[in-house]
Amino acid sequence: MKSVKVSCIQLNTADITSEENYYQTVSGLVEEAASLGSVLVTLPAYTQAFLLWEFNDLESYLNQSSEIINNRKQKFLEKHIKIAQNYGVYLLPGSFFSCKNGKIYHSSCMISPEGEVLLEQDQTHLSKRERNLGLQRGKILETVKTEIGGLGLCVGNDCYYPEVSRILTLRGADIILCPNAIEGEYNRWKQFAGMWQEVQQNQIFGMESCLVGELWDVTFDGRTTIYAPCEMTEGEKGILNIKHDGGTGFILASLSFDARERVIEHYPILKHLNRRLYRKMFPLLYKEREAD
Amino acid sequence: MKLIEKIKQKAFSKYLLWKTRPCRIKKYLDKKEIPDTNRREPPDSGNVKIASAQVRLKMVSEPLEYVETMFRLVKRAYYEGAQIIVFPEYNFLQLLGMLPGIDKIAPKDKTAEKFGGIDLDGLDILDVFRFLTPVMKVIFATTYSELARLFGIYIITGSVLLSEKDGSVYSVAMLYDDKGRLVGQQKKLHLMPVEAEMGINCGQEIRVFDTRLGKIAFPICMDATYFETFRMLELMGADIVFLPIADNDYNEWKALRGIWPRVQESSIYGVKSALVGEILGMDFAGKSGIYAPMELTKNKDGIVVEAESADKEELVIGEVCLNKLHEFRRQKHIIGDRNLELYERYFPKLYENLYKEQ
Repeated sequence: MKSVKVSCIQLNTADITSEENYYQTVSGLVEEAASLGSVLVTLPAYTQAFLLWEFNDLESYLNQSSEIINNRKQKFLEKHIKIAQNYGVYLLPGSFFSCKNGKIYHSSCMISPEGEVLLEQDQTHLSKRERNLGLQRGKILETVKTEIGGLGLCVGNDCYYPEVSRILTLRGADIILCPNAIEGEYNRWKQFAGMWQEVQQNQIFGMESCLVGELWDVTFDGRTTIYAPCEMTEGEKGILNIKHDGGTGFILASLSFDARERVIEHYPILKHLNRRLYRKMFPLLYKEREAD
Repeated sequence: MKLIEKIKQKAFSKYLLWKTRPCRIKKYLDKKEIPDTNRREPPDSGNVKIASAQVRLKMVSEPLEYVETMFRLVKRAYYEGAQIIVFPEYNFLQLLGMLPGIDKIAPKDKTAEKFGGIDLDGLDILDVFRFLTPVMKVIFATTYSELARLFGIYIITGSVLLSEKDGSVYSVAMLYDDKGRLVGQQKKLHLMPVEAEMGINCGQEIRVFDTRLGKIAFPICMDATYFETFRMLELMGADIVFLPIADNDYNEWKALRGIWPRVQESSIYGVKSALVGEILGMDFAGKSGIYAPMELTKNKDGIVVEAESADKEELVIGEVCLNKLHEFRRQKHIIGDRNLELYERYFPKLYENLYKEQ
């Protein structure tokens, strides 16, 4: 029976006091997760913030030159590549900002245990706040085949856009990883409306790492969770493990690919997509929307 | 088929049509105490009061028993102030009781999903629905048109399996306006695996109806499993999406996979009407309810109101405000973005590839 152990790390901003403290905290958590058998570890969104202490707000950082932004990104990646190599895990290092052709994107990536960046993913849908910051939408959604299955990345608010997870699933993702930072006070329903339901309607595994606390004058709250189709989880909740508090720490779960296969075999949701109808309607409807 | 069998079948069909003739149903309803709908206050613009019927199955051999149940629910909805009532998926199974000996049919398996487990001694169950189509058409058209007219209320009938001239069978729901006129119908667009195996067809047209109560649509059951249905309806301008359902068991988590997330991602109101009870060895359970974007609900949970039970007859009543919904759509800051370039890059090819695979 094929199954893999995975872990999601949750960070509370109040627990991170410096860049050095950030790396110590993350290294410690990844080490512990790996020692328990995890081969894949995720971090929450905006982890790059813990390397940007000299900037009072995100806007002032995003106003820096593309050279500074990309240098900072490189430094961020190098540090996390070392963590992945040190503990021999696939690592999603949270999220960072990158500059391409003068345009800034909110991005994440997947680092292999050997330290190779296998996949870089830009956030493809933006909130009003993110659009006001001048961020751009990514235009590509890639997946990567690994020994532990097909991996796809759903960055931040992309979890509220079902198109993203559908594309990733149809392009071969078995596990969708979501570095997240959910704005506002904690409301569990917000997470059901996000990754939980993406997992259910695509019958994939979902890993969501949440940032908790204040950052750049915005409050974020959520509960780091590992999801699977309802039918293969205790109480048919669709949840394999969840962090029940807002503190820093990690959760671990075993993803059984055989159990997932059985769920799909009995209830093959994607087999019954009404492709003929979609092909007829969507181009027309989006064209009308564009004209508006 | 032997000639004598053909004659028997035709005679039985005539008998059923006689038993369900429109004048008989109308006469039955004419004897009822019906309120003067003209005296009713006109609906407040922007506010829509909705009734969602949770119908408990009971096999009936006399079609007027079915009419009586629907009358009772519509009457109650009217007195609760509802302007529209929705009924569940397969809101016709009760009428299978008109077939002699149907109650002796045993399910192959107690956990049978919908009609997949029914043993008809070699008979194709779709042939039964084909045979009953003229009868069901008359019952539905007369009952719901009359009730809508008499109570001055919009009615979404719930779905019934109907065959077309070429023999193809669809799950179809209808909308009647408050004058009793047929506004339109909607075929189920996505099937349960067992329905597909049986040979039921899925519809290829999705519709939004512009009514005095706002722009409404009524896809059916599994259609809410697919975000594509609600995204199309959102793009077509739907305000309220009604969803007749008939699920084989109830689990709050599995129930959460249907209309609730669709409402959240599409910023619309959603209304679910559930079929409950047991018939021909098939169990049905579910909770009817009215749902809204979580920001528009008191407890920030996306639930306006929901049935208390998952196995009893109930009438769920709630009010939604279209003005608040339209304002919310203008204000929303987390969702509401679109990435057309991304969709154009991937979806046509991905859907095409799936098509080739099958």
